[in-house]
Amino acid sequence: MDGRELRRDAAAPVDADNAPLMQLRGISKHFGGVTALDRIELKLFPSEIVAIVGDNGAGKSTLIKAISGNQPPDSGTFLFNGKLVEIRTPQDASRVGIETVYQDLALCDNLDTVQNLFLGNEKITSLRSGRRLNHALMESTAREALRDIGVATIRSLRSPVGRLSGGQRQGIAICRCILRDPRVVLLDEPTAALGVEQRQGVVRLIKRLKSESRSVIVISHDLHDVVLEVADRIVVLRLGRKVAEFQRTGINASDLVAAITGVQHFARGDVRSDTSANRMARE
Amino acid sequence: MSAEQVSGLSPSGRAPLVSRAAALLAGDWRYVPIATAIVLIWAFFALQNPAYLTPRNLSNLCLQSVVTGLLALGLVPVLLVGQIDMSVAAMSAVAATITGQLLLVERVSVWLAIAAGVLFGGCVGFLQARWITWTGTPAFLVTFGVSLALAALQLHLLPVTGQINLYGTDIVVLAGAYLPAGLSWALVIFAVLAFAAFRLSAFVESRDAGLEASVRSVVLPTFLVMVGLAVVVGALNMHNGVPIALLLFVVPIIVLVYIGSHTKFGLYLYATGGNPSAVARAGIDVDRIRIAAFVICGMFAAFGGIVGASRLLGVSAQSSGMGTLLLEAITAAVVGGTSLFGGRGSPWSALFGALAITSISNGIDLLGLGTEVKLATQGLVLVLATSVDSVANKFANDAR
Repeated sequence: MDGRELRRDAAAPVDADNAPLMQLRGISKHFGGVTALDRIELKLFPSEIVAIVGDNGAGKSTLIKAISGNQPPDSGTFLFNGKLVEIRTPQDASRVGIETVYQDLALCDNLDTVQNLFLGNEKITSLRSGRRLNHALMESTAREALRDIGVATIRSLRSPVGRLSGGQRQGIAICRCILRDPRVVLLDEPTAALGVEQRQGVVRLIKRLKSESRSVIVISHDLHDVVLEVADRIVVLRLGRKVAEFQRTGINASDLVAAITGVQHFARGDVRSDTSANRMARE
Repeated sequence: MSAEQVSGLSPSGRAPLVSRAAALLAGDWRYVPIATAIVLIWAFFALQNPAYLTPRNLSNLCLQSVVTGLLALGLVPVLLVGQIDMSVAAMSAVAATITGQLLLVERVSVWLAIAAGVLFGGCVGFLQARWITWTGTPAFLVTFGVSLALAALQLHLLPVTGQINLYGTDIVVLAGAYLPAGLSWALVIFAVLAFAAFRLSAFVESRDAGLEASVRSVVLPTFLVMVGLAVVVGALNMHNGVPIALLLFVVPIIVLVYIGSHTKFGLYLYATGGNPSAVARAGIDVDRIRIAAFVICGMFAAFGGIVGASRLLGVSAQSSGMGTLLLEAITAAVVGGTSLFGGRGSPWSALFGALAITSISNGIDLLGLGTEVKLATQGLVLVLATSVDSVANKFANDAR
């Protein structure tokens, strides 16, 4: 699908050569008196990796939950391919083409790899063969998909995933999401529980998603190995507000840390500090 | 679907011995411990009293295990989704009373009376589960409360004599009739052929999907099933034959095993017990799965009670209601390998577990030991089985 052919929205950016695949407008969420998200604006272009960074409580997870349909926002709209969509449940998100890899991975430890990969999305044999679960087809598809994304170290696809390593489990969670062929993949802290080597594997997977022309939104605390390594654009949240947005090229970790913490830092040319909210938050 | 390896081993090479053993015990060797336990129990009692291992006593033992087994079988789906139903024993008593009263007072046909009892079990299961999923009250408490209410209902339904005599009614065929030898052998042949055909189609599907598959996965299990069935049916035919009641227990097990491993619903039962929030996020209605589990449980509890009434030729407040039946059913499911923590187990566990604990109580009766020995043993077996389950669960959680 070529973004150019779509009718441009009035508010679409003039600086992009493509129309955004997904656009969030004025997303707000309150918990009691606490404003978790304050009029968040976010665009995601085809084949783009956007990293969302911020300190604890900045609203990153709330934003992901809003996009994934797990916790619908109080106000704001989603545009997908320029069309208004309603995302109230994970199934709504899935229908639109958004899949989420949760921080807790959402795996059933007692089920095996194949069962987890197809959970809620099982393949069924023909009516003539009794519409049973098609174990053989699911296993061969799973094997191929896992090999494809380079997660081939799982000893047995038929033993419970509870016995696998953190990296393997992360790989399964990502593979499950790819099997549904999404346009947008949301990754919530994909490397939080992983060792150095396994982190590299996840970074490779994220790049791979981009090369398959999927868009990715990744939340991460891991500025060096993940954010600065893979992101095309970096969005900084602080106390529920978007306070800065960077192109990855030309910035470094200390720029990011400054934006995350709000501590004054010598501004580089590519910091977009043109919104009033941004300026206010940066004092 | 054996444990084939994806290209390349994990960097660490072979897994340590303990976790390999755990993997085997969770997989193909799942029933080795309980089968060993049954053999040991039989050997022990046979040494004490030669009458124990006679076809007559084994036939009796099978019949005794059916009621406990049916209740345990109903508990399996509920345990799989990580819940528990404490009302099964009271449910079985009320259903038996309803069926008995319909037979004797309303003079309805035996099948209608049985259907009404089973339907009642399903309805109560549904209402309990709807309440549990709606309010979030722990199932343990809701079902325990319901169990008391059901006991009260049974007292209300029973005639003033406090018992129903079913002697001479059609319902006694459930537990009192046996298959003719010829028919039982025909069934064995049919079962073996059906099993072989099923394994063969799985083999062909695997091969066609480009998976590693060997004919051994068809031949060896078929051979084992054939030998096992031949031994059991041969032994039972040396006495009265295969009890109808045993079929009424084993056929539902096979149906539930099929549902558990070849349907979405079965898979979701296991998944719900493993990680309900993951199941919900996968777009599956977790509450519906849980409610269905309780409905199945209620129906099997009711059916078990009716078979029990048929065996005892009557219903009374003591026969199936209170007493140790509830704990025996839970023990049977857990002894057979269905976890109290959800997500692990199989309908076969009801058969093996019920056989194991009935073998013990039958042996104690045969040796003429008192009720105190029986109660103490049952209690210890319950504690032991649940402890093993807890330790296994802890081990499974630590393994990651």
